[in-house]
Amino acid sequence: MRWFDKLRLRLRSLFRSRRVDNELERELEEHLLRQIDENIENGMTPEEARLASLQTIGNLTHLKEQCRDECGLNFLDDLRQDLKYAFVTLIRNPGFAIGAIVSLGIGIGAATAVFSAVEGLVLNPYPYTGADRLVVMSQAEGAEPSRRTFLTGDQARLLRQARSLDAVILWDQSWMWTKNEGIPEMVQGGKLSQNVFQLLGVPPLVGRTFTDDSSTATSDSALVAVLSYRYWQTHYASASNVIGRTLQVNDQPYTIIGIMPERFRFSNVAFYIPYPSGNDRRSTLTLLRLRPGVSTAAATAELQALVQQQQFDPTKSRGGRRDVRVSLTTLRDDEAGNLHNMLGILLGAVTLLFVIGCANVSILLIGRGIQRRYELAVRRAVGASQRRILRQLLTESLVVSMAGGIGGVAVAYALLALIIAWIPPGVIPGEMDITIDIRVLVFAAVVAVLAGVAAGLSPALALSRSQLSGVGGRSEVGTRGTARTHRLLTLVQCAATVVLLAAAGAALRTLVVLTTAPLGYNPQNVAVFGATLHGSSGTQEMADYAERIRSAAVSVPGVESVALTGPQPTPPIEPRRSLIEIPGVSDDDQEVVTDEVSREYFSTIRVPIRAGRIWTDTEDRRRAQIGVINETMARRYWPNGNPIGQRVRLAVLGNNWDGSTKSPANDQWIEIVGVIGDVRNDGLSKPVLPEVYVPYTLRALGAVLLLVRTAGAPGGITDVLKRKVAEINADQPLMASTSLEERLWENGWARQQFAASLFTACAALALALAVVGMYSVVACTVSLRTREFALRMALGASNARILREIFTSAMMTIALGMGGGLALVAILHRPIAAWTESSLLSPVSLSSAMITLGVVGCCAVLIPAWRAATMDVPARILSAGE
Amino acid sequence: MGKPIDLVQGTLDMLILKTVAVEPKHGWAIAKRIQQVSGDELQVPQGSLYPALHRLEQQGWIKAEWRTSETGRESKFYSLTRAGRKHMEKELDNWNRLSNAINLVVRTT
Repeated sequence: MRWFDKLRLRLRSLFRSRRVDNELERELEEHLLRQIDENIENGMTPEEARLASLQTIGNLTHLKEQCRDECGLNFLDDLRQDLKYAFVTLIRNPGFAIGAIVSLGIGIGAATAVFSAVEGLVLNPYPYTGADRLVVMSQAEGAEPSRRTFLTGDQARLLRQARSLDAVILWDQSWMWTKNEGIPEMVQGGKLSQNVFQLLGVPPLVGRTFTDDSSTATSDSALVAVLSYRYWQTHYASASNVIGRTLQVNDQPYTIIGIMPERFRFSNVAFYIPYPSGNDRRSTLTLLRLRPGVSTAAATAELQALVQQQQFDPTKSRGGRRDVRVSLTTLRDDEAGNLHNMLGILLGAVTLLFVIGCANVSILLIGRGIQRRYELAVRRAVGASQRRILRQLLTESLVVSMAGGIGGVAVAYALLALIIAWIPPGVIPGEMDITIDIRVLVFAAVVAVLAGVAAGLSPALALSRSQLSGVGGRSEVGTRGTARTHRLLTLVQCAATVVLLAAAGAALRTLVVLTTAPLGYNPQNVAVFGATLHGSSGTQEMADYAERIRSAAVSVPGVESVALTGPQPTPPIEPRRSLIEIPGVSDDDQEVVTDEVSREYFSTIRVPIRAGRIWTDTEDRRRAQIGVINETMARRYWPNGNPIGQRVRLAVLGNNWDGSTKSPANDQWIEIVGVIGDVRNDGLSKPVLPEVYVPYTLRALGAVLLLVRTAGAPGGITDVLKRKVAEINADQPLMASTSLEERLWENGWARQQFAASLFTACAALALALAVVGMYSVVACTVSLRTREFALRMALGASNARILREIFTSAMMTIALGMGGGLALVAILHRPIAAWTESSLLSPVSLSSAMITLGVVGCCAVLIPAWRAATMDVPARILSAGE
Repeated sequence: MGKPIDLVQGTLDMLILKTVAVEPKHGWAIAKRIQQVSGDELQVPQGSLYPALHRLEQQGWIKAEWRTSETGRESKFYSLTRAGRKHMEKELDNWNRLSNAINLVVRTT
């Protein structure tokens, strides 16, 4: 109970201080009265007795103060006083207060926000059981880049025998045609093998998930669907009576059996239906889970052996396995690999920003301590104890640190919201849940407060020791040590700023290179609509139907031309490759990019014809086996001859768009009739790959894209277009419109722009903080040496000389810092180059970093130096008492 | 009677604890009691008594209570807490060992 008594008394001192004070008064009074009584008893007159007893008790005020100290009353009084004083001085010196608080706030906030983002993305991205063991399998042959492995049901069964695997999940996602309350719509739906929900270990929010008997036993006839949380919200308004209702998917009635919780966003689709286990010949996407404790390397080795031994060929129709290399990527790296690397670098960047911020606070506190050395010396002289002064100074630095910490919390939340808003769509897995990590926030705040205290402590110690004689004798308290510390801090700041500027320069350069790289086509003013061609796929009838939709689109006012393509990505994003056999050129199969387009494609996106012709309208409709190639292909395979009239065999034509092999009406051979200009097709920065374009009617397509070139911005045509299409078929869904440019941004440029803006923001903040630091250091030096300068000027030194002296010494420090920064860049270059495509060592970005810092540093230094050099000499000397 | 001996550093706390161990006392009574029991050899200076009392109270060894005293006025009475008693016994033990040791040294040399 002792701690309880102690606590009670402390609280009493804190909240009932007046009463405690009063009791002390009464207690001592009582003692005095008794002393007087005793003295009277001993024969003194009342007056004598009073005087005598006061004498015995000694200095009553001093005694009271001692007792108050013991009760902790003085401590609190002092604290209150110190706090009040700290606030008053801070308000009276807003430049210092704002500088320090903003520096700390930005440092803490930025570090916390980015740490939290990394935490959400890298450490805990998925709500699944054993999420860190989920891997995606890819394989490559020879020098080819690796591709995802697609497996059939039979192959998956073989794979399940692998000892290093815990589970094999088969899944697929595609645009599905739904009818909900009579409204047709195309949405992304997922097909999952029935074990998925159990394996991922996420229970449904409402209802149930697939059970084994709901899909295996009855296979395809099990028409059940589990809704995603978002789809349930947007399409059913979170109604509770959804279970048991019917959802029309691809003309089949599915019964809704469950709803998943919000964080379950496997492949980000609207709903899940069972993956038909009867269809074992079709290959599909797979997700593997390693057994606990099995390393990726061990699993890769086992799967490699298995794939080679079983000779199963998931992507090709022809056999002939040579050197297959299997690789496994964790689900996280597969979905967000690049971003997570970038966040890693960003983490380094904000750490540097944090260091710069802390250095700033130290600089400001030290400088402020120096400004106040006379005030403190005077206080010391009139009786303040060293401890007392130290406490007051520490209170002040704590107030600043705390304010900075609170600012940091606000900055952290704001920044994280910005980061989340900035992350380009589709870059992060939907399951990710980024929130501020309280532990990180507390950690950053504690570090910042410690930095403030440490920074406040050294001048506080030096100053609290100072004697009045020091002030009288004009000796500069702690000057030399302070100057050295200041120089060191500036050096660190400059070095860190150079690194950040170089990083921002590199990111910006990459962005400029990407956005200005010629695409080979014109993406401006082209709107994109998607349409599922449902019902009549793979036939002449379908081709006619698609052509009717196309004509309807052409008749919309403002439309210049309309092209149809297969459901493919916008070049140059994620090219679709196919094996090709080129007789007379190469014995081995080659790999080319393929695109299925209508004849209007080339004129609509403005690709020039180099030789030969494009197929005609009738050839398009009767599904003629002809195609055109790009210049790169012509150059590579027919460097001297004429490609026109040559025949090649495209393996991809053997499969229909939805993966089924049923009756493609072609023998995979096509005749080359023309050569067109190169369009970038393998990312924005890589060289163009050989490419073959074939009529989109050659394969049975479940869906087409309409590329609509308009005279002006393509915004306004959507409604008219939808009406026109509805006139043809009221049940024909049209996917929401985007434009080619938007698609390019979302898939290619946005990511780089995101990186560039983050790094630029980081560098700009660093530069701003460093400017505050450099300015304060020079201002502090000047104020320390004012008297010296004034004296020298009075003795005949010119303004220019003084200016030059201050300027050179400050610029020396900055130059040294920049040198340190260059060294850091050279050291960091290698690890960072392993993470990104952009190089820190580009001379352009490095030299612009140096020039920026140099110019800005010059200004920051010149202002206080100029002020010192142009001061009014006699007035200064006369007012030297300060 | 010679001049009263100054208290050995640190022993005042122990004397106070011992004095209030018997019954609750106010500051004046504590000082008087120590003086009286020591045969007027020990004089407790008021300058040390009250800070010491407050220190002991803050540490939870003694607790205070306002009561009407024999003068009819309210006085602050201090009494020993349970933790205080334990602490006092430890202190007494220490003191005994120290004084025995000193006695030994003083007698033999």
